[in-house]
Amino acid sequence: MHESIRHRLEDLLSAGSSVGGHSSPDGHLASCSECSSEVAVMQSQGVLLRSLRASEELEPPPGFYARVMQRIEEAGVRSVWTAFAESRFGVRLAYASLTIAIILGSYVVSAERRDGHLRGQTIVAQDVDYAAPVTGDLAHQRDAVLENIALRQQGTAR
Amino acid sequence: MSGLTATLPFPATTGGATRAKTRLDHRTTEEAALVRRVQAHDEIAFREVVERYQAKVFSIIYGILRNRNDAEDIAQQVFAKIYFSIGHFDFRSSLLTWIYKITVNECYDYLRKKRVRKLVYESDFSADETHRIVNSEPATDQAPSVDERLAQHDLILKLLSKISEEDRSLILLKEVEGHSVEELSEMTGMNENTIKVKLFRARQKLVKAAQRLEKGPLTPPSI
Repeated sequence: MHESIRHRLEDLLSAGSSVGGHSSPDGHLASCSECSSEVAVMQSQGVLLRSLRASEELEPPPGFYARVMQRIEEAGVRSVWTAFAESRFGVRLAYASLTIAIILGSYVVSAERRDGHLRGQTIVAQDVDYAAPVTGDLAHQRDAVLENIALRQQGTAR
Repeated sequence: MSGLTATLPFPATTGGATRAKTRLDHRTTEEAALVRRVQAHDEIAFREVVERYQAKVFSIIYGILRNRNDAEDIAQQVFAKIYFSIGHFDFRSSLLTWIYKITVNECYDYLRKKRVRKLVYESDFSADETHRIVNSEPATDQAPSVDERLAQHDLILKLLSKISEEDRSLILLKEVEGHSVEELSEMTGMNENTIKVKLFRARQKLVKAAQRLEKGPLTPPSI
């Protein structure tokens, strides 16, 4: 749109709406199709916008003020967290926190997996000394060997 | 502010001396005294604000939503918001301008939450319908049908959702409330050139939004 029209646009639109058409005595508009079409569309939109005007001034039903105060009281006693959750900032912050938690969580899991901590192997600390020397007479040695075998079987059974 | 006028210059107004009026100081008006009382938690003053602006707020909401049942709920929400945030009111604009902005924003929050606009926004309009509504002649002797008026109403709500809150309030104050550029300047505390620039940009965005709707993905395949 050319500057001369742009500068007088509001006057043109007001004049156009009052006469009900988008023709203008302005010489530029008559010769410039770009400006005239843009002004025409803006005038049409002006008509649409004016359709949002309420046909009459509405009065609220009786007791409106009391209901407003009731709402204020209800809003006042709500917890800080509710207000936080209802605000756009709060919701965004919650989403951001969740995203960070997911990212950190997946990093920790991948790092632990890389280190082999998540392979499902059970490491049992045992203080059984299998290599204890078997000494003494034959009967005693046989008992010691049997005891070692029994302990080993218990260990593998666990 | 200066950046706006720098990127989109308007010719200097002729007779600048006459135009350079004393701008209304919103801190010294009777309304400002009332606001200060509300800020000091004077409940009688708040009641006065409610009684003074309730009809206006109702009318704005009804104009946008066309639903009396929702109007009261949103009006209550508007005044509750005013109550809680009037401490932040900085007297740069008139109280009415501030209340108007809150009201329009509440209406759009409501529409967003209820997804009312979705009923017509993405599904009901064909490109042809959009084109016909947007480019319809501004005034005709034949009154539009109820369906057509509803479609027009929904379309303009959708177009308004494409612009910023500030632009939306400004253009509604101009077109719906019928304020002149000069009045808007007084109400908002911005100079007239800035108002003109903002209005022009808002109108351009509306035109572009309408064009996008026409060319949008909803365009039926050509046969």
